[in-house]
Amino acid sequence: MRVISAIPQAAEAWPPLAALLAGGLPQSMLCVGPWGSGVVELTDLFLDAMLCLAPRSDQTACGQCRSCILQRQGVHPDLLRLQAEEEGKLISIDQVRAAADFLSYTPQIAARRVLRVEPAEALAPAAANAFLKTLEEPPPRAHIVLLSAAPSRLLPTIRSRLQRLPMRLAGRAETQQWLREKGVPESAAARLARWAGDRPLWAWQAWQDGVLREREQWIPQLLALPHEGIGAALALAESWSKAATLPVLREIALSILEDLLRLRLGLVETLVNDDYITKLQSLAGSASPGALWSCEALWRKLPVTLKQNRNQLILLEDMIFAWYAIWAGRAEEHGRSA
Amino acid sequence: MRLKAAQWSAHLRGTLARAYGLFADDPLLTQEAEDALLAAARQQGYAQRERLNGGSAAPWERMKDERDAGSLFAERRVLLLRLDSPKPPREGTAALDYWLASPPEDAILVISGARPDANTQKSAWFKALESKGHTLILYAPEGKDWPRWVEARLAQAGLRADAEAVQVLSSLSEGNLLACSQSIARLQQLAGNGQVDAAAVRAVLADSSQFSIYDLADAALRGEPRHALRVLDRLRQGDGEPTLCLWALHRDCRLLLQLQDPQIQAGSLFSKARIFPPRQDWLRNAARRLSTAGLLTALRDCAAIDARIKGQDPTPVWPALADLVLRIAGPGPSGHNKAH
Ligand SMILES: [Zn+2]
Repeated sequence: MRVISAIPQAAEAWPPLAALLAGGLPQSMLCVGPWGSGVVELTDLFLDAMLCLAPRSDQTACGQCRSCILQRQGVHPDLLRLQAEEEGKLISIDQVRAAADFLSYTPQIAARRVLRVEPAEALAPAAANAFLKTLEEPPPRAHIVLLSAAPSRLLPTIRSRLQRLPMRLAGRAETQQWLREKGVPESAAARLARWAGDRPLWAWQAWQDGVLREREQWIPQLLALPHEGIGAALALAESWSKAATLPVLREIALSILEDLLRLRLGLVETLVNDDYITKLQSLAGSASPGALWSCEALWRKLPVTLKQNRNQLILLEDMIFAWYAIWAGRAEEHGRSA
Repeated sequence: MRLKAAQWSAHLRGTLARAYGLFADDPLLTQEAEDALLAAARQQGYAQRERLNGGSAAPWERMKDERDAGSLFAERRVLLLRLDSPKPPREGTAALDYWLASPPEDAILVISGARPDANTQKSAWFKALESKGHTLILYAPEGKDWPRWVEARLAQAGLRADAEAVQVLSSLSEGNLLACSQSIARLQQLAGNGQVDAAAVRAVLADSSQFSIYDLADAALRGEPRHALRVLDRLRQGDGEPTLCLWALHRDCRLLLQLQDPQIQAGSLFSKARIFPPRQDWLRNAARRLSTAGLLTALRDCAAIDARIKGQDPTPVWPALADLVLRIAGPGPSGHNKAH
């Protein structure tokens, strides 16, 4: 059974949701939060409670009724999970039609039928349009919950039909405290909270995977690269293609790129990698802003790219040379003056 | 329950269950798991086998009929059903529920398909299959596991391959399980004494057409655009693999950039990459002829071409390969030669 204590911010995040459950549950809802923030877990607790036949006084699911048991087994007839048929693909118009069909039937066990859509940004434009009418006027006792990590990518017409649920994210101090309680040493907890303060579940996973050790190894390599030759960049791409976990490398590279952008805006106090501040400051000064943004975009879309079984060496070379290009203009100047 | 790949052969030695779900990233893996299951079933008296796909009736209809037929006269049989999409349609899950509610005594149902994502694995039909039967989810070997897999396959085929042969075969057939196992089958035919070296692997892999990918890369290096394009065209018309063409051209782009780096010793680079004359001279000349900026662009082209090959970008791949060839070979004597 899902437990509320597994979500660090649950004590503060749950009461507003409980209030909705107690009275006046909207029919079309949107839950927003980055991956690893606990928002998905919180939403699932909320869905459990919506289906439960005898919720507890705090509105959480009882875990014992028939509805809760079916839900735990993943076979609840009143819940439909709508997602892309394959990871990285879009939700099709046929799937949306089948989901609308599902909602039109009366509930079998629970008090309501529930449709869960994750991620909402996977709705293909045609599918989203086909969905509008259902969102506008859901059948009686039907509820739709969309989850999104990037609500700006939803069609405005979709967004305007949804009531955004109050999803409180954890703060840096809260995450740090929670990690400490789970046994993470003080300095590591502080580092992780600075890095991913609003994503405590991600931070905890990162700690277990030893990501901080990789960070200490990879950041200096990345920061040294602009001063090194092309051969060194090729060698780094090769060694990373063999040894590095790309999603982790992405988190690290993005945190560095965003720090450089922050420094260019003078936002020193929000720096994530403040332990590398001197080096970052010297690099930020000589960076080409356009190249900085395109490099950031390349790393950001990596999860999509990775689903395509791409050649890792070629992929990493592309990313590393995009990083290299941020200071290439300056290198040329050096070349000319030399 | 869910079985792990390592448990599969031990499981098949015991009493078989009434239903199985076999899923993998790669069709070769499901195929092999299915073959092993069928062999075990035959030993346990399930002589007959029937594929439910491809008949005149929908597979789900046939599954329902099989369930209703009862066991009066039927022989012990294995029913094979392939899922065309990771999510069966509603009539499919209904038929499956019907079957699993009371499976016939004399039949084994085997469902196979692509590896379901995490959400599908949480769906009702999948959980029912898992709780009433067995599922096996096989992952295609990736990263460091890939060369290990290749090595194990070679050994399984009774071939003794040296480390370089394993390395060449794993990098050339990169991630393509079927192509790799077909190459191993051909190596088995060719290598009489069971000994396999890198040259034999290259011969089997690259000799897919009259002109090999090595001719392509060499012609580009020597600065012969017309010849290189002709080789590329032959490869396109024959059974040339874009992945292999890209592999050869990309490898040269890397080498050229490394040769241009003053901190890298050409001699040690050649010996590490196993480059012998006359290729060494072609590489040295091309490194002088081409600009670093041009080669960095070529490297970016490689990434774009890889995206096309993997279906991330729908534009055709052969014209892009031709552009890459020309970037290395130069525009030729008739073109505007900007080399200084
Ligand atoms: Zn309950």
